[in-house]
Amino acid sequence: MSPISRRQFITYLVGAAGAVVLSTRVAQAASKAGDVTQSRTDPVPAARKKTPGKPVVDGVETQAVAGAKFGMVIDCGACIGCRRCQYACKTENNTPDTISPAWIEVFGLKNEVDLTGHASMEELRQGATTSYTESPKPGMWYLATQCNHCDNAPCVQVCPTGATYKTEDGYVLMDYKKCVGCRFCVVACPYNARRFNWVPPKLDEKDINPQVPVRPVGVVEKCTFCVHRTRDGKLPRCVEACPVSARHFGNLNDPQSEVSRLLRSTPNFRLLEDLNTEPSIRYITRGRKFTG
Amino acid sequence: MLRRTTIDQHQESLLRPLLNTGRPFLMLCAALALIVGWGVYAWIIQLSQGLGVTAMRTPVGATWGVYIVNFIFFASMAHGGMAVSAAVHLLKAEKFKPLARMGEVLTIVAVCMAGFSIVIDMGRPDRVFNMILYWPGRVGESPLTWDITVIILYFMLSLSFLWLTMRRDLARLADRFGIRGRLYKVMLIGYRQEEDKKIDRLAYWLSIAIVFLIVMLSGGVIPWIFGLLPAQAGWFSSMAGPYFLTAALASSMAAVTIVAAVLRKIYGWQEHIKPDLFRTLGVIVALITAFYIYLSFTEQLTVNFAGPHGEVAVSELILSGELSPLYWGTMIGGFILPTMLMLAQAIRPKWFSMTRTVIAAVVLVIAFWVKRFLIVVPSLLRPLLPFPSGTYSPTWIEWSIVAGTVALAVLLYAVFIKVFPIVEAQEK
Amino acid sequence: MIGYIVIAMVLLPVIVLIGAFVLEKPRNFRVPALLLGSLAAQTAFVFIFLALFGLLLGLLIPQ
Repeated sequence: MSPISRRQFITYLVGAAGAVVLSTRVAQAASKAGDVTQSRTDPVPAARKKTPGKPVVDGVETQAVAGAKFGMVIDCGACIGCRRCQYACKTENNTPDTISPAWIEVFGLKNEVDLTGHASMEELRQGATTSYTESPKPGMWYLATQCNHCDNAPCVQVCPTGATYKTEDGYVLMDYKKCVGCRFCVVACPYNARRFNWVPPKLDEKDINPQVPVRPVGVVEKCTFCVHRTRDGKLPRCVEACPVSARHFGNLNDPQSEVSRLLRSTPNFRLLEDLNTEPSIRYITRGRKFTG
Repeated sequence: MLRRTTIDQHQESLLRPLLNTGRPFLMLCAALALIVGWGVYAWIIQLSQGLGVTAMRTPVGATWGVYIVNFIFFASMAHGGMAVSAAVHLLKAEKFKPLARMGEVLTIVAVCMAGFSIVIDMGRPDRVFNMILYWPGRVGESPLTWDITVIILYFMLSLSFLWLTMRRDLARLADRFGIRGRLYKVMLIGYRQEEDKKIDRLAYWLSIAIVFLIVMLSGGVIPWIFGLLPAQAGWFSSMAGPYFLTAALASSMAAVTIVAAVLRKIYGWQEHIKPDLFRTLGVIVALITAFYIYLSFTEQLTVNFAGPHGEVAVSELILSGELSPLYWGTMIGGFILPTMLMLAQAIRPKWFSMTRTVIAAVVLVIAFWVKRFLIVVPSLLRPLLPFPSGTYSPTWIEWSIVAGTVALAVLLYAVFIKVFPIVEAQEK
Repeated sequence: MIGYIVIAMVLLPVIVLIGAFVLEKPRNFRVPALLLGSLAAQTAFVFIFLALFGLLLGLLIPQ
């Protein structure tokens, strides 16, 4: 991988900023065109009532964004392993401490850059560092993983009640009311992206984000690409929280979106590609030089 | 005159469980009830505090544990009985007739415990009806939905089989017993003596259907829950079906052997159940287990020759890692030695001993429980992504519940033999 | 949808075999009726039992 010049870097930065603004506008327009009626008269958000099923915002079920296919690009060259994405996700999504790690997991990987998305035997044997306390460290690179919202999701296939489902606009979501807690989806996911509520969650009232349901004991949960935000044109919290802009999110069907342009301009890979899951998260290594 | 006495004596000895109930039996039931009670207590704790009281964890650790192992164990136990019945009705192997109903009842009890184990493992068992409610939408895709379908079908056919083939015995006995007699009369709804011949035909056709379902259940939908998932190294294998089926046939035939030997001893049925039967059963169990050992060897050879990372990591865990003492102990002490013993007895009839056969069968049944643990858990402890290696050490709650299901199975069986005739009355 | 093939593979032989039993001569009405009645009754029982069982457990599990 050859280093890029300062001019190229600035061009990319401006282009990326422009793409973010543009794709946000496009998503907003698309969601308004999808006629999501938002009632702001009900002061008690649905999330505070008994476990709602489908994604709701302010008491209204969100509609799929017509023609969109949402995806994420994570720059593991830029990632410094700070885990701010993980903590932001946890706060945004009412994830209790008993779900550990939270929906996002970040691996610290030691070896020479291996960009195939497969763990080496040594990494498997020793378990890559997931409980590091300092980052970034020279000679380490950081791989952030979460639910990949696969097009060919094995979790969707195996669910006996249809509690997990694939939407038209690319999300794999959960209907917490249908889930019977059999955990078949958890073992079917090759990315270990799904979490289970082994105990009743304990959350302080003041910490609860009313836009996201609080899940009861005995159901499965996972990253939702912040569907309550992203269908509304906002970015997922993890993307917002990243201090080095290593994360990008947008509509892969829109050739002018930031993510589409990034993927066109940089080699990218997906995790466990040969398992035929067709994940919606792609990885690039554009961010910085590797040393050490 | 003499003939009638012979027939009467013959009938009477088979009715011993129904006629005499001694202190030992009541004490056994009391002990079993205590264990079941303890298991229920553990389960109530689990219901109110969540599955976190087990040692299962995500994403590092075992997502499924001893409850699923228990499910596979009981579901596979439910076949030997029907296989013996099938041998009687299809192959005309009359000498197995006394064992037929013993095995059928084992089937019914085992399937109930299997279903119960699944419910115990669910995070939201209060929503178990959702499995039925959403069946139409999910049967096209979910192996769990197929599993529920085939298990329920297998159970219903087996229970119908048991009821309909038992009627002629109930008809003979209905007038002899008071409360039980009234129950028999209810179960004899619409009975006419002429139906016996048609029931024989029912036994014939249903035996074929049930044997077919044995393959589709223990060699089909149950292994496919594991074998169809590339996400878990060690599970994903086309061999899953035959592997599980072989284990099911071996362990269930061993269970029938144990049940038959125990009942024969307790009720003095040496006249009706000859030792030769156990020699035959021993050979059958030994041959099937030998085949299972061959399959295990094939599996490990395939993985370790030039296997991919994920598979090698799982194999390492059981061949040389944390779980290797359990694995080698099970393979050698649990499978190879009992098999060699039973084969030796077959080759040299002089070496045959009922006691040794039953002990070997007990060892095999336990070994098959442990082996299933070694199939379900290791793959879950070695994910494909570089998570830290997980561990899984079942808690007292899990063991209490497992013990409770085993005790409940024995208790239900014991109740059955006191209420209904466990051996078909022979026609003279 | 692969599941339809699996379920068909399981159900069709069973239906054929039960059909063979029902249609075999000498024809009898009672015993097939008893069999099918038993299957229907058990199906109903499973449905009702699961529904009631779920309701009962709903009282114990924290919602």
